Amino acid sequence: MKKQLSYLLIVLLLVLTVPKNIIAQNDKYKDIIKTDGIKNKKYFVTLSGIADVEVMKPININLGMSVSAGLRILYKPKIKNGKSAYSPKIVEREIFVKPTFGYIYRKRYNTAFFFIPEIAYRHTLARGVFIEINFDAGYMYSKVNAPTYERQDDGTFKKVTFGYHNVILGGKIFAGYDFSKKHKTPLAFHFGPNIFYRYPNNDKWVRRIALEFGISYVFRKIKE
Amino acid sequence: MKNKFTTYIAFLLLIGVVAGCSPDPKPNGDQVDNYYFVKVGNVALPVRVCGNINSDIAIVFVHGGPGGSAQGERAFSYWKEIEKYYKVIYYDQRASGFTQGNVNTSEMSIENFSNDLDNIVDFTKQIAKVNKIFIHGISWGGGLSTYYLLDSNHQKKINGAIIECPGYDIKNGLQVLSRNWILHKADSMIAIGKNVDYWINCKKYYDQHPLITNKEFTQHGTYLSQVNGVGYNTSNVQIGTVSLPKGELAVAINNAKYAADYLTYEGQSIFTHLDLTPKLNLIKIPIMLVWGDKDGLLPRDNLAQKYVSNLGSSDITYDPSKYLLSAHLPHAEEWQQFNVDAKAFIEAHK
Repeated sequence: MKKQLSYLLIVLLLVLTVPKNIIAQNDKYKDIIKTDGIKNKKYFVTLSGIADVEVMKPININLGMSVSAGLRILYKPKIKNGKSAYSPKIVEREIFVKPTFGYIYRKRYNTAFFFIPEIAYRHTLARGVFIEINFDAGYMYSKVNAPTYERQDDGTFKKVTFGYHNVILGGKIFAGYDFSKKHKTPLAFHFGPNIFYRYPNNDKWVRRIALEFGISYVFRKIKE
Repeated sequence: MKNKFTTYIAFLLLIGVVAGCSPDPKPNGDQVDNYYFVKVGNVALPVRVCGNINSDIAIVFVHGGPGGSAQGERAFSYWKEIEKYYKVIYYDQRASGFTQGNVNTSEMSIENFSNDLDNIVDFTKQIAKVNKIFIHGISWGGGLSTYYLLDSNHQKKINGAIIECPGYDIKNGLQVLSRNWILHKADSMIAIGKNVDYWINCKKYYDQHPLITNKEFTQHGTYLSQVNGVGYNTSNVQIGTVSLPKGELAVAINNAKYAADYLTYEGQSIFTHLDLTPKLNLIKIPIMLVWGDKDGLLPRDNLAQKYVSNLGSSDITYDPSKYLLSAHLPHAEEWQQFNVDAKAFIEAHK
């Protein structure tokens, strides 16, 4: 009877102590194997093609380009359990400031140069697919695209340059893929619509819609 | 990887450059097609100079609306024919069509529109290099042309004017004559039992809106279109293709509304106050008046005869027996006849 009781106590002791040992072992590995990319520095440079679309008949598409830099100001990664404890999934939640310079060319109309210090929120899934929302408030200068003349006081016409200034407000929604997330390729691309309003045009806001496709070079450095 | 990245950048740059350099189709050897802007204050008026490069005569087209555009006009067969012989100046008025820049509401006066037209006339002489200028104003543009010609200094610059269904007396033409015209049509439609409910509602609409202002103008136009009061002989209208500036659709739409909302004559809305009849005697230059018999927007009876009777000019070309199949756009609806008449007028007064 004493033997049986001793055996049961040993079994109970083992049952209670073994799981603790396993978890401790897991924690130990976590210290040794770093979760790749959980702490990193990241910024990027983007070159985008812009297609300003006028939905009329025939559809009027005007092309432009923009260059922007993405400077991360807030980063909050989220770790999700993967298939095993050794491969957790990291979802990146980031806020960037993106100073953007660009232009849109409209034949026989104008070339609009703009500067927008965008604020962007990017949500990158573990596989590298991301969604980005941008809030834009900036400045636009439109220079007319044809020889421009102005009548002088003496009645003659002189060639002049003419352009006008606008405030712009708007936003963009992008979907894209960041190759630097899972692979070592430092590239990302995105695609999506943007909509903005410019003011003033005869004291009113005027809407513009465009599609944007961009490719980014991503600088990602793992923090030690 | 760097090479790939460079390739992507080069590709995107190439797209931008190619898009920026695509050329317009070149005009024939004896034709000109140049595009300019004329800056007046804060606005840039688009001006397209087309037509016979060797011609010493130019026709300045003054578009309607208000808030319309002249840039699509070339598509009409009438202008294709006219461009064979003369230069044609297609310009957009301030806060209209493809015009750029900001116009405040206080700058939306017929006086400023007239000053803009004077800029275009001077520009035509100096930059388009012609010595003889005719103006062709239609609808609101006919009213603006009439106002422009009230100034004797302006008349000295012009050889003659082709005035088509002019909005020179919008106060009576729209508020009384056009209103009566559509109500009469509504009665006719009800009498024959066609869309009775629609036309009863139409009559109610005018009961509820005793004045046709900028707010009612669109609805008024819709009713007129139902009974061909703007375009009657549409089967004869021939429209070709034309290249347009790559403008902003939202701006063109906003302009059309803005011009109608804020355009003033002597500080008050043109819809309720524009009547140039008492001043028509100041116009002394040759005038060719064309008015469509079926015009419901500015009915010919009695606007046309009143215009002719009050003009100060002794050289008036007007034949009430012509343009019986046209409504408000004779140069499109009976363009063959208009071509003949316009050429005869220009040749007689060049």
